[in-house]
Amino acid sequence: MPALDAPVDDDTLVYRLVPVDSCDAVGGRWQFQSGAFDNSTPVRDDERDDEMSVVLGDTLEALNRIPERLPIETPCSDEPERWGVAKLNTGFLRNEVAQDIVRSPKDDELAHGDVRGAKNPKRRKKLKKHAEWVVEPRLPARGSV
Amino acid sequence: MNTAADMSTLYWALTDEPRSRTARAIAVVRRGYEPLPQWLVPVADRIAELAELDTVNRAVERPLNIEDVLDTLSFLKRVMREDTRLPWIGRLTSGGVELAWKHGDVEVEAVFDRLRGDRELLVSVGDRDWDAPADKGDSLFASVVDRLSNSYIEHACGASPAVACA
Repeated sequence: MPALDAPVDDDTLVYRLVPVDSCDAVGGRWQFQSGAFDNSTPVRDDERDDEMSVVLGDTLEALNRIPERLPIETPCSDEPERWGVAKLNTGFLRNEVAQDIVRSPKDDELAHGDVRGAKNPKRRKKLKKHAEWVVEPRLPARGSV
Repeated sequence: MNTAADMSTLYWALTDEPRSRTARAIAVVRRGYEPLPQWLVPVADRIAELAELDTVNRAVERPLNIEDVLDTLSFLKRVMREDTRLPWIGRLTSGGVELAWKHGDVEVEAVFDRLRGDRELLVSVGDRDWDAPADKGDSLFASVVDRLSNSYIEHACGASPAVACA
C-alpha cells in the first residue's frame, strides 16, 4: 500500500461518491451537477474548508478493491442505491484546476484522500465536465425539478 | 422581496412541516405577483425537499441557508418567463443553492452562496463561456432564455432527433 507521504501520480484516478441529490435525472439516466464536486463545509472552525473527500485509486488497487463496489463498502451510506461513483484524473486536478491531492486514510476507509484547493463555481463546473461515471446510482432515475 | 417580513415568513417556511413550507414559500413569491407563476409550486416543492435531505452529514455540511433561498427565488422571479423550462435545483455543502439548465449546447448555472461570497451566473454556448454576478446577470440570462423555453425545446426535438432533448 502507498506510504502516507508517497506522491500521487498524475495518471492515478480518484473516485468521488456522488448522491442522487447532486444529480439530475435525464432520459432515465443520472447526470451529476457541479455541486457534486463541492468542498466540505465543516462546522468546526479549526477544520479545513478547502477539501473534497475522494477515494484514491492507487490505494484502492493495492487493497484489491474496485471502485464499482464503493457505494456498498463506504461506511457513510446506509442507502447504497442512492450513491454513484465518478472518476477524476489526478493530473487534471493538479494542472487544470490547481488542486493538491492528499492521502488522508481513515479508520473506516484506508484509501481515503482529499482534493485540496479552492473550488469556486467555475472550477466546480470544470470538474463536472471532466468527471465521468464509473457506476451510476442504482436508484431509478425519474424526472426531477 | 427581501424585506424583514419576507425573511421571517420564509424562515418559518423552512422550519415548519413540508406542506406548510411550500405554502409559505409560495406566499412570499406571490406577493404582488398575479397570476401565480407556473414555476413556483415545483420550485417550492424542491426547496422543501432540499431542506430536509436525509444525506446531510452534519459535520461537514450546512442546512439550507434561508438567505440563499430568498436570493434564488428573487432571481427566478426576475428571469423566468412563462415558458422557461424549470431548472434543476441543488444544495451546496455550505447551505447555498445551485440552479442548472441544459439544452443542446446551452448550459446555464446560477449559484447563491452567501457563506462563501459566491453569487454567480455562468452561461456557456458550445465552447464559449460568459459569467456575471447573479444579481446583475438578467440580461446575460435573457440572451439564452428563448433556447431554454419548453416550446423551443419541443420544436428542436421534433425537428431534429439528433438534438439532445434534456
